[in-house]
Parts: sequence; structure tokens; C-alpha cells
Amino acid sequence: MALTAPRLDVLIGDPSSGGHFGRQQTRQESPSTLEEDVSYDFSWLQHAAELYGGGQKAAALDVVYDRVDRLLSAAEYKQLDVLFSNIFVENLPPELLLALLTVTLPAAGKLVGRLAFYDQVWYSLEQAGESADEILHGLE
Amino acid sequence: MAVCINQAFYHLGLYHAIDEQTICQFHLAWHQDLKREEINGEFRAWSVPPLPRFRAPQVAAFCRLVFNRIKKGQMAYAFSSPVGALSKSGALKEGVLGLTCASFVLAVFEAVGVDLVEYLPWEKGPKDEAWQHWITKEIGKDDAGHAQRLAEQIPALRYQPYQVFGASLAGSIPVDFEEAEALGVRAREIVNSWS
Repeated sequence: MALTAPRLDVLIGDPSSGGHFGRQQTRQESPSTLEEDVSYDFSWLQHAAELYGGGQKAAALDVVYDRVDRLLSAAEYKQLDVLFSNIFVENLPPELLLALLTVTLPAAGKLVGRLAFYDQVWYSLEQAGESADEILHGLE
Repeated sequence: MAVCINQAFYHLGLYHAIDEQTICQFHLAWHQDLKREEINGEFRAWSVPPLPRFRAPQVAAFCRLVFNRIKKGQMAYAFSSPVGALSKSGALKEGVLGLTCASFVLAVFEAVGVDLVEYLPWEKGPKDEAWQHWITKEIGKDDAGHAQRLAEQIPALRYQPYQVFGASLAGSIPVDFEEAEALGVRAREIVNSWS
């Protein structure tokens, strides 16, 4: 049996003092996250981007998870496909892009626009110097 | 985002952020008792699993979604596989009888596309079946119908809390049974040495 570089860094005590909140974003927000001629109301995504830009990252993710989950529950696959095809990937931070991919993962087979969106996110991450394959592992 | 375990290494949960300032503990405490509460010392040790970049906030966001969607902690305790156990909203999928504290943690990660362990093959422990009978008996005191369905699951594969905690300590994931077992045992030794 081989142990592949185990990290036996067991931690103890109050984790709020440990600062384990992930990494800093390196991208800048821009005003628009969507194409302008979208017929559905996707203002929640803009709201999420603004929350994120204002430092309320958890709240921003919650907006995405909540709204997309409701759309999936209502079988609004077409609306989500429209969303996927109209997002300016470059204008959203990676965590929100991954939120969209993560929360739609169980319905991946029903969302025809998701794979193209995945490819856009992959390319965007690579362009930003990130390891897209590693970051997106399990989300295709 | 961290995996946390109690002093005796028999109960597992998650620490996750509620907002930018607050971390809570989130765990399947018992049958129909999924808890999110302030960190209260119940869990002795914690470990940050080696998640890919940007993924830890997704696990936390999914935990918050689960908490918001699952009313009154309604999550059945049983011996079902964690693979594909949770729906997009975090409820048990149809046909999934329930989860243990440790398999719930695995199921949360699996639901967001991250596998902490290689689920199969997984070795049975010498006391797994006796433990499952004991759990069934205890749950049967309050829910005889569920206990009857639990009994039909025995023997079931058991992902033990210390093994899942061990997986969270690995250098990369997913880990196989041997690595999860070895790291879990070592972690328990370390934590016990603190006492």
C-alpha cells in the first residue's frame, strides 16, 4: 500500500481562527454579465456578481444555488440553456462560473447548452493561467 | 470547508462557512436529525480536504442549500450508499433509505462532483454488522417501520468516520480503502495523544 504524500495536518480548535476560506480572486468584475437581448429575467445573476464584487461571496453563491435550483425544480431547462448561451464568461469570477456548473451537474443530461458553457469556462480558466482540468474535474 | 470528527472518532461532520464571518458545524446527528449549529466543541479535530481550487466554496454553498431546503432536519439515518444519494437540493433521492454521519459527508462531496474516496472496493470491518444491528435496534425504539427497512439493508458496506476523516487528510483524492484506513488510524493516534 502506498500513501500518496499524506498531509497529516490534523487541526484542532475553533476553525474560525484558521482562515480557511479559500483563495483570493484575481479577476475584476465588469458591469455586464449577460447579453442584452435575453428574454428571461436573469437579473439575479447580475445581483450575484455585484454581491461577489462587494465581498459577500457566500451570499453571491447562495443566490446562484437558490435560483438555479428553483429553475431546475420547475424543469425550466430551456431557460437555463438560454442563460448558458448568453453569459459573458469573462465577466464572472470563477467561483460563480463553477457555481453554475456545480448546481446544474445533476441535470447535465437535460441541459443542451451546458456542455458549450463548460467549454467556455474551461477555456476562460486556461486563459487565466489556471489548471482547468483540475479545477473542473467531475463537473463535465 | 473542513471535515470534522469527535474525540472518539465515531462521529463525523462538516465545518462550513455561513457567511464571510461565521463557520458552523453541519452533521447528520441521528435519524431525522440533520443539524446545523454553532461550533460547540462536539468535534475535536478537523481537516481541510485537498479540493481543487475554487471548489471548497461550492461544497459550502451546497451545504447551505441543503440546510435551507431540508426542513426540520429531516434526513433519514440508514446504511445506503452515498453514491448518488442526494438530489440537487440535497434531499435523499427516491429509493435511498438514508445515510450515516460519514456517508452523508461523502454524499455531500459527491453531489458537487468531488469524490473523497474510491467507493469500491471497500472492505467490511469485523464489527460493522454488529454496529448496524445496534443502530437498527436504537432507531426501532422510535421508528419501528424504518428499523424494519434498516434490518433489510444488513449487511451493508460501512464507510467509517475515521476512514472518511483519513481520506480528508490525503495528499490527493480520491483515496482507496487502504489509504483512508491507514490515514484514519494514524489521525486517531495523533488526536488521542493530545488528550
